[in-house]
Amino acid sequence: MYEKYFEQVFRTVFNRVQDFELAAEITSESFGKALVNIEKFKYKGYPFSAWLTRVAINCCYDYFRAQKKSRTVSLEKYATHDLAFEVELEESDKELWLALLPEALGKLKPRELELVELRFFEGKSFAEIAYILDITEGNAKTRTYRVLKRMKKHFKRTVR
Amino acid sequence: MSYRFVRKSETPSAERIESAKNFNEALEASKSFSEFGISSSALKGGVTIKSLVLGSVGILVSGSALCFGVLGVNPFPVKEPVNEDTKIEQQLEKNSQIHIDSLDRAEIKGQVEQLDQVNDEFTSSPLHYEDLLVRASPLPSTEAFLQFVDRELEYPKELLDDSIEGFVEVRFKVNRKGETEDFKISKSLGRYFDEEAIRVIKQYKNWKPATYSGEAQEDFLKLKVTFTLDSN
Repeated sequence: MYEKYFEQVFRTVFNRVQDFELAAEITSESFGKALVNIEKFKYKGYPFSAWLTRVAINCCYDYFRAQKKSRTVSLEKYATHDLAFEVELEESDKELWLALLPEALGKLKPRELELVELRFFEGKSFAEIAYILDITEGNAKTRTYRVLKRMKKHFKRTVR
Repeated sequence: MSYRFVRKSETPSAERIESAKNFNEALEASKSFSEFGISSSALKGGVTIKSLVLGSVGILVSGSALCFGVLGVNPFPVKEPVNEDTKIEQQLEKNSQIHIDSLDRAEIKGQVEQLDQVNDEFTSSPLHYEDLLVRASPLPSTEAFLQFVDRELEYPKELLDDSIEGFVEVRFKVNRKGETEDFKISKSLGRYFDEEAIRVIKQYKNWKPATYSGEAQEDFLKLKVTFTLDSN
């Protein structure tokens, strides 16, 4: 289990902390937690890796909360093709979009951020995202698009 | 929670990640977590002892919980009353339900014991189809019932000018005799629509009650009645 999923879990954690040592530490903690609670995993049509992701993300937020640290957000990813398409971003708008992003993202709750990142950066299905974040699939879909709409609105309002 | 924004994110190479593997650290972490585990299981032990002492009470509680599952009693309280009359009606119903509940308790307890016996007998054999809960349904078929509702439903004349469209969600009980009762509106579209929806469902008399182990049971059903202007 450790050998097979280490890289995947590590990358999930690393994307959120952007610190190699720290990511290693939280990854170990995630696996420790997963080992202890492995009997709680029940197959519900989602891969085991989704369960591990769920544990790892929760570990990350436990850390942020306990250490009063900030979650790292990579701005560049928010200008990728898929997301730019969703918020109807022109190629020429990208620089402006990147400049405005911190303000727009700062208003989002961690869970809303997770929705967007899991969907667009990690390419997960809404069903899997729903399982990871412990919400329903319909809810995951609605909330993701609501967040995008809000970001779009914020951008359009500031530019005009 | 605050965020730290970075323009460009790092992507560590697979080799570098490989070098971070440290299974012993994960094991250490798991040990510290399992220590918590021990304390919580010790707590669980305490609870079991308590429930042993209060054994008889325990059976009653589990009995009523099972009643929700087996009899399909509606676990969601209905919120919006239609008007004052239905409010009073609902309260009356509530009172009578409480009454029935306490009467049924002894019966349920008996049922639970019976079920336990059945379980003991058939633990190794597959599920017996008699044990299945069959939900209440309209006769001869659900399609026929929906067609009936479609045919009978009339858009309230009083509101024709307002051109309101939408749906009313009605919850109702099909009792052991296959009669509908206890109509409640869980999603209202205004008084006239609510009354019309209830009137139409009330007219349909042909119901098959729910059964559990072949024995008739009460069941709660939910129906969405949609009002559109095109059909009228």
